[in-house]
Amino acid sequence: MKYKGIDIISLHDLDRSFLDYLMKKTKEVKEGKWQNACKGKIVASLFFEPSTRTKLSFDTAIALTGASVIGFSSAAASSTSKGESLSDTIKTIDQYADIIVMRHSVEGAARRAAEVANAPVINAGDGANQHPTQTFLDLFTIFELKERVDNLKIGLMGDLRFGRTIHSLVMALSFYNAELFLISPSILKLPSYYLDYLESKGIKYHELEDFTEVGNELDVLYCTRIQRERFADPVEYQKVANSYEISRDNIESLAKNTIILHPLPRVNEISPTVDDDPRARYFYQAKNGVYTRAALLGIVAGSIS
Amino acid sequence: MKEIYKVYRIENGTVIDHLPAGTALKVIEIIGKNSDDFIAIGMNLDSRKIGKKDLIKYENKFLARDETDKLALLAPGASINIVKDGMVVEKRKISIPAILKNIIACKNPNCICNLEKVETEFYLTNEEKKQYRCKYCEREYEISDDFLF
Ligand SMILES: [Zn+2]
Repeated sequence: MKYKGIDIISLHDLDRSFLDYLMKKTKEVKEGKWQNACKGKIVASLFFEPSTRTKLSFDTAIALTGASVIGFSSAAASSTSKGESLSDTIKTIDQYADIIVMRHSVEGAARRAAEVANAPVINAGDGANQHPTQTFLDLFTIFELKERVDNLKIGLMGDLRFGRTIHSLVMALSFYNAELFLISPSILKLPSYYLDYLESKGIKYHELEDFTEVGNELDVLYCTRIQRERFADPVEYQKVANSYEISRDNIESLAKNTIILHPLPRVNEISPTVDDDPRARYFYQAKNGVYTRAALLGIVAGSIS
Repeated sequence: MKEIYKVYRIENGTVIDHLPAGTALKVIEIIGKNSDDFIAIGMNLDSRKIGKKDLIKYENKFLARDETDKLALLAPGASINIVKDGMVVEKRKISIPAILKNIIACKNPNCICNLEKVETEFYLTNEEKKQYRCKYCEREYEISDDFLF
């Protein structure tokens, strides 16, 4: 019951012992131990910004815990479209719900909601800032397939500069003793304050531009999308996009037991022709999102302990 | 204590000492606007500690917490002397604040603190760089003087 009632807003608020606990409980949920643990609870699922993928994953997780769900899937359907403040919307829904899950396009919206609500708030994405449950499912997938995070060699590839999932994952991995390979075009490198942060935590990292140089050393290769909008020159984009695509041509530069992960949706970063390769685990990873979110709901509700 | 008398004496109030040379006017602009009382400024005074320094004396003014915080961001090495009946009764070293509560605004237009009425809060993440993280949007900023105006 240690974590009953806590808000899940940002990796900045969490630590290794919480993550270890969540990983353990997610495993139990996946093994079928906690079915209907939240029976009788009401979860408010507030998607001020539409996100079908995250919403469906949460809906499935809520169903797995046996809780009931109320909410909306776009801002147009909420009363904020009538000019009500976020705080007032949350204060009202707080009267009905045991847990609030929310997605909002404004950064800090979930933090603000947590300040005014009594019910625990789970951040399902706040603009370009945080999306902690994505990080939890990433971490769980690594834990499950590699049985640890300490001492792994983990490649993070793509847009390391703006990528929200990357920034949160870097934070989470910094609680462990993984060695990081930061693979990106030079204009999309990890911001220097994350590098400072890694250094302050004593985490070993390497910056490089081509994953094939280190592919056979990696335990995990985590890929993210490189957005066209980041490039002023479309020719430059095309050049970069091609060299960050995993395909049959370069997949053999990875080791036999490297796992390939991706937060999805993908565009061109991973060719569908490698989906059947046993190393490609991104759909499996998406499925783990359901178990991770179910475990999290149970933990903050105090129903899983 | 010789240099004290190069700048007009005050009976009661605050002396801000050891400001880096050239920063006095900035400090006045940020924390000295809302007072009708006497203010004396000394610029480019000799200092054994920092070479050249500026100094400000405020008659009848005692700095509030937000003013001390702003001063700490502008001139972390400054010191504050409280004067009563012509005597220094208290010397304070200021230090860079760990938390800035309602001192600065977030520069991210998509941050909730710029869209709803909420108090801003920033946490120090790197003292050397004067770097702070917004409590809400979690952006990190190196606090330059323009944040304070
Ligand atoms: Zn902000």
